[in-house]
Amino acid sequence: MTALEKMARLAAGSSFDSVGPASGRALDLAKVEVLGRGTKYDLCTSSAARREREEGLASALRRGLCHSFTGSGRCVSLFKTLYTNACPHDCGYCPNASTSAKKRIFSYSPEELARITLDLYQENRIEGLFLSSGIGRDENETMEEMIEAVRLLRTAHHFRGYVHLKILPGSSKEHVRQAMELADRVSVNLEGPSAARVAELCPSKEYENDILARQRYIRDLSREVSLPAGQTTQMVVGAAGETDREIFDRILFEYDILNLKRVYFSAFTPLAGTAFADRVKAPAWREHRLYQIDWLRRVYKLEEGEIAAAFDDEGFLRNSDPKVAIARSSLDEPIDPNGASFAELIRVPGIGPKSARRILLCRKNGRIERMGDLAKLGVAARRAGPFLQVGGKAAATLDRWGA
Amino acid sequence: MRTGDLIRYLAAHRDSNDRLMARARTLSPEEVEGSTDPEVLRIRRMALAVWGEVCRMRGFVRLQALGDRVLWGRISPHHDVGFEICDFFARRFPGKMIVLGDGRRSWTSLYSDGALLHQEGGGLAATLAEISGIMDLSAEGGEEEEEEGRQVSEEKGGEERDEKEVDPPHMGAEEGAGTAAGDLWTAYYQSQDVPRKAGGRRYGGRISKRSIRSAGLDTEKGSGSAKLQDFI
Repeated sequence: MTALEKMARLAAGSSFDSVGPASGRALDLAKVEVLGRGTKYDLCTSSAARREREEGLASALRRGLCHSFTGSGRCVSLFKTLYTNACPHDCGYCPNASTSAKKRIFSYSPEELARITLDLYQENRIEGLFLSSGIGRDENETMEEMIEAVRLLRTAHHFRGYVHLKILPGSSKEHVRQAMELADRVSVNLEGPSAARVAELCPSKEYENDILARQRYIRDLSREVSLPAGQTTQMVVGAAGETDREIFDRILFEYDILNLKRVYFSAFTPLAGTAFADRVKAPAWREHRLYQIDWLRRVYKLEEGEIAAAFDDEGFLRNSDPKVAIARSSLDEPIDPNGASFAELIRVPGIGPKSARRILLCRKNGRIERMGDLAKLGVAARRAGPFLQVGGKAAATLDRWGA
Repeated sequence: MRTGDLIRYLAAHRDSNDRLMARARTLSPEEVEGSTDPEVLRIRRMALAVWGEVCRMRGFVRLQALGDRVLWGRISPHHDVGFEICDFFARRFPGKMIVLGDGRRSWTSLYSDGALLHQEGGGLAATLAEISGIMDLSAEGGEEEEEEGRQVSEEKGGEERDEKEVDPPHMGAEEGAGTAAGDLWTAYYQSQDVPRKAGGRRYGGRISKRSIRSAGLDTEKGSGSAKLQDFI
């Protein structure tokens, strides 16, 4: 008997088949399209966190696995969908809001959603599920059905792929707990940086009770329930006239008080048929600059006071790298990479945590005497040059010429 | 990168040799990270190239079912990473045989009862036909790929294929087009696409053409724009 024959007979005799055969049933593709489109502006990453179990469909072992890219460059790694697009809320930017133009209402059943997820997962088109939803008739009823869909995947099909579950505003604490027990990551959409801004975006939502209270539930429950990828949130940027400074202050609160893993930003895009259809579109670069600020705080651990240098007098970020603005205000003298600490190095534009670590390691074997050596260590030499003194020489800058 | 991973990935590189392997074994993770020595930099680049291919293949290979117990897909890796990818999917789908390959080579893995079995074989179609015979299934896929693989191989005089031909041009959606899952994917994919999203060009510029090509899906490539073939 050949090895292939042995394997084939072993597979044929195996009683474990969590995925099962593909459904082969005709699906309502309009439903898939409409409910998928409902999450087009929802953001998510980090699909690698997984619950450690001994058996079942193992998830990806590597993070950030992308399965395809859209024309606009977005990575598609999850089946991102709404459970239902029916919603009584009146969020001005949302095409599913009760005040938006008439639309067809669709809903999945838990079984249907689980089957679609498995079909796509088996073909390796997705890495997991990102499930959001409109409120439907009642937030707890819809939340229960969403949880049931994930429960089916996890228990009946032993699905260990990544699951990101949205907690609907106003959901009960018990539903939050159940969602946390099943999902890798949960999130409540914050939408705006303060109660006043959210009141303008969505008058029917109570900021404190519907949103912040749910975030606190998650924070408190995560002491008892393991949530591998933690809690995240998302904000619409530029729809309610909020400043970047307001958003930054909210980020600090979310990270420091509510222990969030990530805050995502989505630049406001006015959509036809919504209450905000006539408002001005927020520039995409604003979203990008906010992510840079978020990164400086979360990864580089820069102090709030240092980051404040990146904002203008009105509290907005400029369309330029905030790290350069911060470095200009805080680095008085060029830094010598042979003597600088890790904290000093990562404050130089063009040097990140990885290249800073490499510089420290490289210094053990000898001095860094040329910019070329820094480039080999991953430093963006052109950006870092004006802030460094290598081999006793500092690069010429306009400021120094002027002095 | 840990030393074990470094050596594993370096060994899988198509330009790897004994001298580089011996040097890699002497390197600590700190040296690999912090050295500016040209040879160490080369070792790091080679290991990262293999790691990148493994990551890309894991993401972009599309699996199809052959009966209830076999999942197969087309891959044509540049480096020697067939088992790495095949074993990954075998662990993901316990009890199912995973068969990956192209017209010239195939890799088969099965994860069952905590044990991982694998086997390297000839062309994908031949392997699938053999499995079908054993399992009494009707083989449907792979023949075209086998033929294509042969042609490419003949054109290149049996030599190593260059970068351009590494990623099968049809890894993914074509085989699914018209099927329930293929239509489902098309509908979902198009719901996520934002062709006119501002800033897309900047983000898109960071993704290598090779990665986009290796997805190879008509749906993805089309991204809302009509092609000449659409009018013929």
